[in-house]
Amino acid sequence: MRTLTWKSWRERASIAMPGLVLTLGTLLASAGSVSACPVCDTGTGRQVRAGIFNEDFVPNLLMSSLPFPIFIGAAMALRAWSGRGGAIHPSTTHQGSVKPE
Amino acid sequence: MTNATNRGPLLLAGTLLGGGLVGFVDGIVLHQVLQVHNLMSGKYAPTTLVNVEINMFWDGLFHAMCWMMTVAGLVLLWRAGARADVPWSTRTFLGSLILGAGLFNLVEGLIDHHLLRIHNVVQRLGESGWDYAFLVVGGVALIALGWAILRTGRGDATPRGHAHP
Repeated sequence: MRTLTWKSWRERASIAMPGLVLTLGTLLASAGSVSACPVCDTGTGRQVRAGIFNEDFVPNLLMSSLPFPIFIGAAMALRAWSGRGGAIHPSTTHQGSVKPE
Repeated sequence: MTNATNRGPLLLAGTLLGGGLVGFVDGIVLHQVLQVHNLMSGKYAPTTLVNVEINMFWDGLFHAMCWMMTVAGLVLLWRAGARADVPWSTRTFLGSLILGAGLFNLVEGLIDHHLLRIHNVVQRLGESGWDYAFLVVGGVALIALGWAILRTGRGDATPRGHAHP
């Protein structure tokens, strides 16, 4: 395996640099077309921020995240149940006779 | 070495991974590619640029939470693989992945589509047959399939390093 030295990193950076500059230039030139983002300092950007970070933010956050703790709780309950010898737990009465996969 | 019988750690890892990955499928296919709904499209109709952007923000948080669940599943999978008492069973892992996917869809569908009504599967139709199809096909059917595969792996008892690939 080839070891990456400082010199090889510099070679790679010099190859990638024109692409990076071109990408950055394109992004800056097209700033008007992305001005609706939540962090954009434009009229639309301010409306977007106002629509997100308002008195509904916490209720919206709770609503949008509610399925996750319930799902994780159900998964942990399933794991605990399987550990207590549930129907999907392998038979442990004859450990020496269980078939390997 | 055929006494690895503690399937719990692998089951939990697979379930979390299944839930996280199916959340990505939901977000990528239904939110982004087909654009039939967004996470908050029941509250902010995506008919204006501002509302589309607001929905994009909440979709992003949904994806972030799916990502965290997927990472947690990966960590648990790694830890399960290091344990000698956990069988390295393809059937247990595949079954728990599918079961996790179905369980997540069922929980998400019941809460988001029917209880909180923050979105429906096809938003322009409101509550429709698609919401019930989502619960039955994406939820219950996947849980049943995952459960059936899990049961076939009950006899697997070979830990990692000794199991067939």
